[in-house]
Amino acid sequence: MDTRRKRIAVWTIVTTLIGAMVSLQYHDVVLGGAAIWSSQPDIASVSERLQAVNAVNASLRNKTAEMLQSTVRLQHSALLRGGETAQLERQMHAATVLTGFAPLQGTGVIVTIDDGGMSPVDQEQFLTHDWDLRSVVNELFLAGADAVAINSARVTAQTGIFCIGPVVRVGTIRLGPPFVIRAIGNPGTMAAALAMPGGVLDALRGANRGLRIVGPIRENSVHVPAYDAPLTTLQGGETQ
Amino acid sequence: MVIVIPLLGLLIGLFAGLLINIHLPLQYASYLSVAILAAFDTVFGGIKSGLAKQFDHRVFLTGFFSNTLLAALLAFIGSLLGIDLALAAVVAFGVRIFTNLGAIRHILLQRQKVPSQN
Repeated sequence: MDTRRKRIAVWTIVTTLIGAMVSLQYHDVVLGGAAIWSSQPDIASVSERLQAVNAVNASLRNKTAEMLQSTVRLQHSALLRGGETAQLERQMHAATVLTGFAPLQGTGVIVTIDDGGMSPVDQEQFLTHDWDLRSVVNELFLAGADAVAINSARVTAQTGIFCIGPVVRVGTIRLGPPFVIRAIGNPGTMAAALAMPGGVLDALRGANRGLRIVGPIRENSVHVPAYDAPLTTLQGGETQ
Repeated sequence: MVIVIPLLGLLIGLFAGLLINIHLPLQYASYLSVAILAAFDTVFGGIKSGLAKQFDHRVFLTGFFSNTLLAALLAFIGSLLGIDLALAAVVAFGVRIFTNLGAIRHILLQRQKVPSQN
């Protein structure tokens, strides 16, 4: 090949490659806003990873819930059969309900608490606070509730309720308003305890904070989710 | 003929890039842009040396590939180390591109001057 031909060949290779590179980049810039700054946080891949992890977590949670339900069913059938293990099974069932390890369904009440209308002067007093939720939950347990949940968070003996900025942390879950408190137990007793004159809900309604409170509504079928237990090693051992 | 075939190549490349539905992940986009800048730099350098009668196709071709790949590689290493070498490459190649453009303009102006003097 003479020099002229070589030269043309080289230029053709280079220009073809440049053309392809430029149009590829153009494509990406138009579609995805591809930027030159490498220091920009890689939001796309991070959010993809987050979605993938969330999907795996959700499927594992579903699996756990299914297994718990089948355990509860098996325990029920063992209870019905009676026999020597019936007492043990009864204890197991009570433990499952009280520790919150199984989702429950039954008669109960539902109370909904939502933030009041915002005032730019003093926003804080219009927010639902941890102590508001704690007082309602405490009243429900005192009135004999077997299981209580705030939105998706089951309230167990290990569940702390505390404000973190504008949201409320219930156990490991951060919740925002409106807070739907579901309780399973005797609906009449629980509703009466909450609606008692000068009681918990009266205090919340009367504090001039504009909190929107709906209920207590008695329901024949209240669903309370299972406790999303953190898989940590338990400290301490049993004593006689 | 000298210009037509490379221009055809450019058009083919452009169409190929647009028609083939390949998308680089967003995190690699900055490396491609640096590579493109390096490629432009090589091309303008090639045009300049061609006009100055100093063109060497081996230097040009190796320069094109090594500049492009090394620029992208350096930017990648920079992003691993938290140093924005992509920005440095933009500045460096940008300056070189404009210097080359200036040189090309000078050579073309000189060429026009020479026949008019004769």
